[in-house]
Amino acid sequence: MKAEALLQVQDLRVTFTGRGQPVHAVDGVSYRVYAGQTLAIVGESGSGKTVSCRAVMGLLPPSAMVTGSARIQGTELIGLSDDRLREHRGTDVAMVFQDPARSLNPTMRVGAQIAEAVRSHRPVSKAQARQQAVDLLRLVHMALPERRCAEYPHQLSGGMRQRVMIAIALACRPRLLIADEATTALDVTTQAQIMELLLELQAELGMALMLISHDLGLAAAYADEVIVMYAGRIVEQAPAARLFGHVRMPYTQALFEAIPRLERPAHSLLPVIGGQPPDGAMPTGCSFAPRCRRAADDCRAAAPPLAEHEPGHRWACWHPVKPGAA
Amino acid sequence: MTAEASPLPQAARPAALPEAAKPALLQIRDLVREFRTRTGTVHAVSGVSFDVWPGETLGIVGETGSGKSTLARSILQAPRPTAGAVVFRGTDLVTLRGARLLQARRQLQMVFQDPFGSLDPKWRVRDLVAEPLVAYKTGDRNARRQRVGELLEMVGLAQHGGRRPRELSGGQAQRVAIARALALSPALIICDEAVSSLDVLIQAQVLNLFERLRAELGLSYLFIAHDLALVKQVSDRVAVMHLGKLCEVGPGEAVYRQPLHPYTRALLDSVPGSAQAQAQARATATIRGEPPSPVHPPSGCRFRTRCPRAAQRCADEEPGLRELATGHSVACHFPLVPMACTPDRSAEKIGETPR
Repeated sequence: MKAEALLQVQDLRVTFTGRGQPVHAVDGVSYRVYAGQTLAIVGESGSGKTVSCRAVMGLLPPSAMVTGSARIQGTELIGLSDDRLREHRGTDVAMVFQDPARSLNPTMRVGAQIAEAVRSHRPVSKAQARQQAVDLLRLVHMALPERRCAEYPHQLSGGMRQRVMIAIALACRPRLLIADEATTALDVTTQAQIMELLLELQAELGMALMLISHDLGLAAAYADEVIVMYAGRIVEQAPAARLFGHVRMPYTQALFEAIPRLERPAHSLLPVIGGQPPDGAMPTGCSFAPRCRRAADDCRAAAPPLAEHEPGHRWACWHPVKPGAA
Repeated sequence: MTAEASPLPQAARPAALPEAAKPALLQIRDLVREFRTRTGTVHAVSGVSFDVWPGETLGIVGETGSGKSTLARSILQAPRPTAGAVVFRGTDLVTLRGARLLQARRQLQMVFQDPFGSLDPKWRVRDLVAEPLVAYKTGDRNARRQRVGELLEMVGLAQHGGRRPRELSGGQAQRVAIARALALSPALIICDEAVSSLDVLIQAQVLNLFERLRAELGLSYLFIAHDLALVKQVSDRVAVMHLGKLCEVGPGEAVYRQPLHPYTRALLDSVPGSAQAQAQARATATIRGEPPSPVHPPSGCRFRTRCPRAAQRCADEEPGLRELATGHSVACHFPLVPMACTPDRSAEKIGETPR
C-alpha cells in the first residue's frame, strides 16, 4: 500500500510511574495503519497491546507517562489537550471494548445512548439523532431496530450489546475503529457474526480496523496484517497470509502451537513454554529469552532489534525459527 | 432413608472404552432445571441424560445460555434440579440431604471460570488448599500439612504456599483452585469454563496439567466450555448442548469429522482459522441470529428457528436422541448423514486434512 498512513505511530513509549519502580508498559512501538486495512495486535495480558491503543486514544490515567508520536491524518495526538482529543475521538478514532455490559449505561435506553453519541459530535436535532440511532442499529444488523431502541442493556444478549457498542462507535463514522478484545467474551457463533459484521462495515465505510486480541487464530483468520507484542515491544510483524507457515519469532510460534486445534487428537499434550512474561524489571537482552527454547548467550547479552529481514516481514530475534517449521 | 440407586435405563456404552465393564461413574437421567421468574418459567435444562465412565473425560460444549453451567450446578445439587436423577457412584444425589449429601459429594469437585472469585483474597495459598481437608476433618495437622505440600507440588506451586491470591497470576490462581479440588482425592472433577479466562500460553499449561492429573490419578472430568476446539482437545466424548437439550453426543473425533447435527456443523464452522471457516471464506456458514429465549423455547426442535434444514416436522415433533453410529447419537429429524446430503458440503469435507 503506497497511500499515506491513516495512523502513524512512532516510537511510542508508555511508562507507569507510581510507588516503586516505573513500569515500561510500552517500550518503543512503531506501526502504521492504512485506510481499509485490518491490523491485528496480538499478545498476552500485560504485553502492552491495550495500553498502546489507549495511549493513542488519550485514555490512560495521569500516572502514565506517554512519549513518542501518534499522528492521525497528520495531527499529532500525543500531548493533545482533552478538549482537542475529544474532537478526534469518535470522528477519527473510535474504540469498542471487551465488556459491553460495563460500557453501556444500565439506566438508559439503548436508543438514547446511541443518540447521545450522535449528538455529542454533530449538531442534529433530538428527533434526527433518534432516527440515526435506528439507522445505526440497522447498519449493525440488529433485528427490530425500532423496538431495540426502547430497550435497556439488560434486556439484550451479550452479542446484541456488542452490536450496540459498535453502533455507538460508528455514530460519527470514524476513519479508524479499534476493537479491543471486542469478541473475546462472546460465543464462537456470535464471535463469527461480529467479526463478519466488522469486516463488512469496514468495506462499506472504508474504515481502517485494528483488532486487539490475545487470540492469534482470530487475528490470522481476519486481519490483513498481524503485529505480535511481547513485554511492551513488537517482536514480529507480517501480513497475516504470510505468518501462517512463516513464523520466525519463537514467541509467535509458541502462541500458534498453544491454540487447541480441532485436528489435534484428544489428550495430546500441547507444546508449552514455561514461565511468565517479565513484570517490572526487564531482563537485559531479549525480554523473551528466559522463556525461549532457542535462547543462547547472545540473546541474554543484547536485545535483538526489530528489523525488516524479508519484504514486509519484521522480527526481533537473533535465532529465528526456520520458515515452515511452525 | 438409604440412598439406593434406582434401576435406570441403560444408556449406550462407548465401545471404545476399555472400562466398559465397570459401572458408570456418573449417570444423569432426564435432568430438568427450571427457574420461575416474573416473565415466566426459564427452561434452563430440559431433560438431559448422559453417563460419565471411570477414567473418561466427557466434554460439554454450548453457547452462553445453553444451560451448561446450570447443568453443572444441578449435578452438584447446588441448587438442586427440578426433576431427574443424578447417580454418582451408585447413589442418587437428589435423594440425599445434609451430611449424607456432603459425604457423597466429597469425590465430586468443581473448578470454576474465575479463580479469584473462588479464593478468599485474605488467605494464604496453603490455607486455601487445606480448607477442604479441614472442612471434611481429614487427618491431623501434620497429615494435612503434608497433603497440602503434595498438592502444591502436583500443580507446580510448591514455592507459592505463603502467597495470597493477589500475588498470583490468573494461571497460578487457577492452579490453586485445582489443588483445592484435588485435596479430597475426587473421582470426578467438573470444570466449568475452567481455562476460558486464561491467556493461550497459560491455558495450554493448565490443560496439560489436567491431562497429567488424569493420567496419574485416574480422574474423570466433565469438561464444560463454549470452545469446541478446546473441548475436543481434552475429551474422549463430546456432548453438544443447545438451549437446555443435548443435540449430539459422540466420540470427539467422530463429532468433529462427521458432525450429525446442523448446530454442531455451525459450531465447527465458527472456529476461526479452522479449515472449514477458511474454505467458507468468512461468508455463509455462521448461523444467523441469537439462540431463542429459554422462557419460550420453540416447539419441537429447539434449534429449528436457526436451522438451515428445518421443515414442518421440526416444529411439530421433538426429535429424541438416537444412535446413528456406534456411540454417536443425534437429536435431529434430518441429520447430516453423508449419503443423504449430496448438496451439503459436509460430505466432501470428510477426510480432508485441515491445518
